Amino acid sequence: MERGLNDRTDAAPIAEKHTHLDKPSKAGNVVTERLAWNALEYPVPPSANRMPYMLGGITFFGILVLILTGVFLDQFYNPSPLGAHESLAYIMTRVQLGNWIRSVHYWAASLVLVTIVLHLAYVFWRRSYCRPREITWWSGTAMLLVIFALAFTGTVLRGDQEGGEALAHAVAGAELVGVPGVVMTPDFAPSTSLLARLHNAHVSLLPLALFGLIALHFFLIRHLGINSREPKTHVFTMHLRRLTGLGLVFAAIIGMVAALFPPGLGFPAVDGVEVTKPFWPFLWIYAAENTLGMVGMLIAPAVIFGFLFMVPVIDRRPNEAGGRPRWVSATAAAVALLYLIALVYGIFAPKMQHLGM
Amino acid sequence: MRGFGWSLLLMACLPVTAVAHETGVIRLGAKTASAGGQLEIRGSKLTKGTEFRLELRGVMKTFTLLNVRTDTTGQFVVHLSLPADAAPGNYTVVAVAPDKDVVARADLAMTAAVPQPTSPMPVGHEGMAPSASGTPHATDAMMDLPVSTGSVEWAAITAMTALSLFGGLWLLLRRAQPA
Repeated sequence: MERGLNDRTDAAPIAEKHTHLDKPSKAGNVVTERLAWNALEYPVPPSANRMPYMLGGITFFGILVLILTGVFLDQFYNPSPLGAHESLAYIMTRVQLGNWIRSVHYWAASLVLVTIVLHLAYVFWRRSYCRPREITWWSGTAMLLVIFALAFTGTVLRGDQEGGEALAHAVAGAELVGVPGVVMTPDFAPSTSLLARLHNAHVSLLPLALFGLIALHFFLIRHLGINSREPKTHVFTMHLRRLTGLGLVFAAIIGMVAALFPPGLGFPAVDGVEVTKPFWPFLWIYAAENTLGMVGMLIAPAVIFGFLFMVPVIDRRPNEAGGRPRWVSATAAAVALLYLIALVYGIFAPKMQHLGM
Repeated sequence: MRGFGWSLLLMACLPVTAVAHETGVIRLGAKTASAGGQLEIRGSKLTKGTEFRLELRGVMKTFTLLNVRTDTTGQFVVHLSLPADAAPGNYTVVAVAPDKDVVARADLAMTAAVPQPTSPMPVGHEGMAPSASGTPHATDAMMDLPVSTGSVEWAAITAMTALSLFGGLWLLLRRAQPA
C-alpha cells in the first residue's frame, strides 16, 4: 500500500510532541482549543518544507494578496465602458496608496502566474498526477485555466488600448467558437455592457470557481498526502509556519517591486485598431495568432490545456512502477518547448492586425 | 464612552446635514451627450431671483459651465455647449448656490466627441499620441498621468513592506523550542 493514503499511525505521537515543543501560552491554548488548531498538527514528510513543494502554497499566498488588493481597487473602479478608464486614472492619481496597491495587484498576478506554472511543471516531473491523485492534478489544471481567465479579465477592465484589443479578441474568439461562445458576445445581454459582465466575472464568478477548486485541491492533498516516499516526521503546522514566512517574504518583495516599477496605463481604447501586445502571460497565444491567424488563439490554448488534462489518462502507469513512458515525456517536452518558443517569439514578434483577418 | 456615543450621534446626523440644502431640481435635455455637443438644462424649485453657478463635475476634472439666474418662480432654462475636451465618462451637473452649497444635481453620461471624418490609420502606426484636434488615435504608449507618492504614503509603503519582510524572516528562522 502506498504511504500517505490516510496513513495516520504516526500522527498522534508527533502532534503530542509538537504541542509540548511549542509550549503555547494560556491565551494561545484558548484560541487553539476553540479554533481546533490541533487538527492541523497532522504529520507530513520533511520534503513538504522544501522550496519545490512550497510553490503551490506560495501561489496561494499570491492569490490572497490579489484578493486583498482587488477588494481595495474595486471600491474605486467603475465597470461602465464610459467610466472604467477614468476610474483607473483616478485610482492612480487621487486615491491614497492607490497607485502602489494597483501595482502590487499587477505584480502579484505576475508572480502567481509564474509560480503556478512552476508548481505544475514540478508536479508533472514528480508524476504526482498518477493514481490516486488524478483529480488533484485536474483541479490544479482547472485552477491554472481560471487564473489565466482572471488575468485576461483583469487586463480588459483597464479600458485602455491593450484592454480594448483584448476584449475585441475575446469577442472574435467567442464568435469563432460558435454557440458555446455566445455568452462572451455583447448581444447575449443587451441590458448591460460586456465590460460590466467581465467585471462581474473577475470579482465574483471566477474567484468563486477558484476557491471551489482550491478547496477541492486542499482536501485531496490533505487526505491523499503529498507524493513523497519519506517518512512523515514533521507536522503540518511547522510547514504552515514556513509557508507563511515565505509568503510574507514574497509579499514584501512584491511590495518593493511594485513601489519601484508601477505599471502604466494606456490611453483610452480606440476600436478596430491593433497596436499593442497582450499582457506577457498571453504572448504565446499572440505568437500563435501571428502564425495561424485568429484561429491560433483557440488552437494554442486547446493544445496546451488539452495535453495537461490528458496527462493522467495517457500515463496510467502506477508511481511505484518507475518512470513515465518515453513517448509521454517526449510529448511533454515538445509541448513545453513549443510554449517557450511561442512566449519568446511573442516578445520579439512584430505587432500585427489579427482581427478581421 | 459618553463622548463616543455623542460622536456616533453627530456622525449619524452628518449625511442629513450634507444633503439638507439640495432642495432644487435639475432636469437635463438628455441623459447622454457627446463632448462638445449641446445640452438643455432646466432648473426648478430653486431660490427665486438668485444666481447659481452650473458645474460639470467628473471623476478627474470639474468644468464651470456658466452662471444662471432664476426667475421669480425659482426656475431657469439654458442651452449650452459642453466642453469639447471633457473625457468620456460619468458626470454630474450641479447647481452651486452663492454660499457654495450644491442645491441641485443631475447625472450625465458623456461620450467621446464626434470625430471628424478622417482616412483610416494604417495598421502598425503605433506610438501616435492623441492629436491636438482631440480626435483619438490608437497608441500603445502609456499616459503621462500626474502620479505622485507623498511622504506619508512612502512611509506606509515602507512600513508595510518591512513588516511583511521581517515577519516572514522571523517565521522562517524561528525554530521550535527544545523540550
